[in-house]
Amino acid sequence: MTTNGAQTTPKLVASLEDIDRWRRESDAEADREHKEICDEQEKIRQEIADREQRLDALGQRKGEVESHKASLPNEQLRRQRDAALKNLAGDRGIIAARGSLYGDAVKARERTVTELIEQPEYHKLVKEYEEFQEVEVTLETLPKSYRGAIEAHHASVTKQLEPVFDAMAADIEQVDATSVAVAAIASVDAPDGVPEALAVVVPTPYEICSKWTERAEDLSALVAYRIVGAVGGMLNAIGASDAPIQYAEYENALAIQVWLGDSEVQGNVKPVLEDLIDEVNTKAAELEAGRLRIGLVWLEPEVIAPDDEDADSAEVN
Amino acid sequence: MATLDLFEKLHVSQMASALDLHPFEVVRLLGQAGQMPRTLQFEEADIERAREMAGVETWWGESGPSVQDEVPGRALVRSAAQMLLDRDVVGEKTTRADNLFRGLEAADQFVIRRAVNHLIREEVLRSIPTSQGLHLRVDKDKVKVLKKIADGSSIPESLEELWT
Repeated sequence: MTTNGAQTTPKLVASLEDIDRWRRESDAEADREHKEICDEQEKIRQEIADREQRLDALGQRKGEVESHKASLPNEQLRRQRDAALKNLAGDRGIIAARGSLYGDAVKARERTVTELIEQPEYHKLVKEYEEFQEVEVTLETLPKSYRGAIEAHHASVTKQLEPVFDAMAADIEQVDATSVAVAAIASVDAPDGVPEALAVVVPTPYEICSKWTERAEDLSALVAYRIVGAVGGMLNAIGASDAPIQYAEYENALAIQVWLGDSEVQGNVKPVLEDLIDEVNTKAAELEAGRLRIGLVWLEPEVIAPDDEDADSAEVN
Repeated sequence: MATLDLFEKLHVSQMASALDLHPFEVVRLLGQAGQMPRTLQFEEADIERAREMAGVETWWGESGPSVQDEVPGRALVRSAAQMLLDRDVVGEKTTRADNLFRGLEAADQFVIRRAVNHLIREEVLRSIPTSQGLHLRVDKDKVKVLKKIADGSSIPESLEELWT
């Protein structure tokens, strides 16, 4: 400090005070910056912690997604199986309902024939025709000339009854219902390689096979016959005529199982069978009358997973 | 028979019954031959055509077993063996397995079925899956074994249990 220009305080004091001030200010500045850095570090640490937490969460979710993705094939299989079984039951019902209408149409044709044979010009002929059926087995016991005369008369009666036979063989009238398609589920194993096995699940009751002597030959039976016939045609076309076929129950429906492993298959099973089913759709009189179409739907073998079978069990049953 | 039935053609199941076959066997054969008709109804004449196509034969007549034997089951089996030899079902020639028991009573069919299965397991008979169902044949080197069964000189023990 100066008084009247005089220096009363040593310069060093002022210098030290300056240094102290500088120190205080520098401390304050360093503290401020240190705090800022600490705050920034803390902020970043927090951000890192948040990010790590997010990473963990993402990692966990990633695992869940991967696991979900890995489960999709099985889930798809399960859904396809559920859909197939649901559809199978539904289509069985459709064929049964359509069979009822078809049965009515068959009865209508029978009524037409009944009305025809009740007409006087046919009534007597029908009676004679019926009587012949009863005595036919005894004809062998008659002298040849008698037998010849009876047979000639029978031929004449049969000829006169032609309109009755024709009426009985006439096409069944189409049912009064909209056209409907049902699915036969088919599967070939291996799907892309040399086929070893084929399965076709028909939406008709298995009893058509197991209790055929007790069942009426209804529309369901005719549908099953058509598909078995188409499978037979396909086997012939691919050079596997002797391939063994087993018929099994699959979810209350009929499964046609073909072992192709011992055949030298020449050709592609799928298009050949599809063509034959198309032919059935266009030619089968009962499908036309029932306004019914069969669609062949191919699924992976795992979807219908046929019961274990012993293809080598070639014993007499 | 109802009057209307007289004028109706045969159904698949009626044809199958006439042939002692399963209806699926009939339609499989028709399908293979490309002979599935537009309407699944048939004439009497179609039965014989299908019989030939299916290789169906009836070997057992009303007279019963051709081989005389005091044990009925053994008589059946010996007769069946003799039938295979008589029809020369040897080497490449085969026959439907059910031809061996078609025409027999159910109990007798059971005996023949079991005997055939024994003989398949013992490789006296060979089973061959075909479009007509299971076929059988006798390999040439097994003819002697079958002859001994037919004449009763050597019947495998596994068969003896069928009638003891």
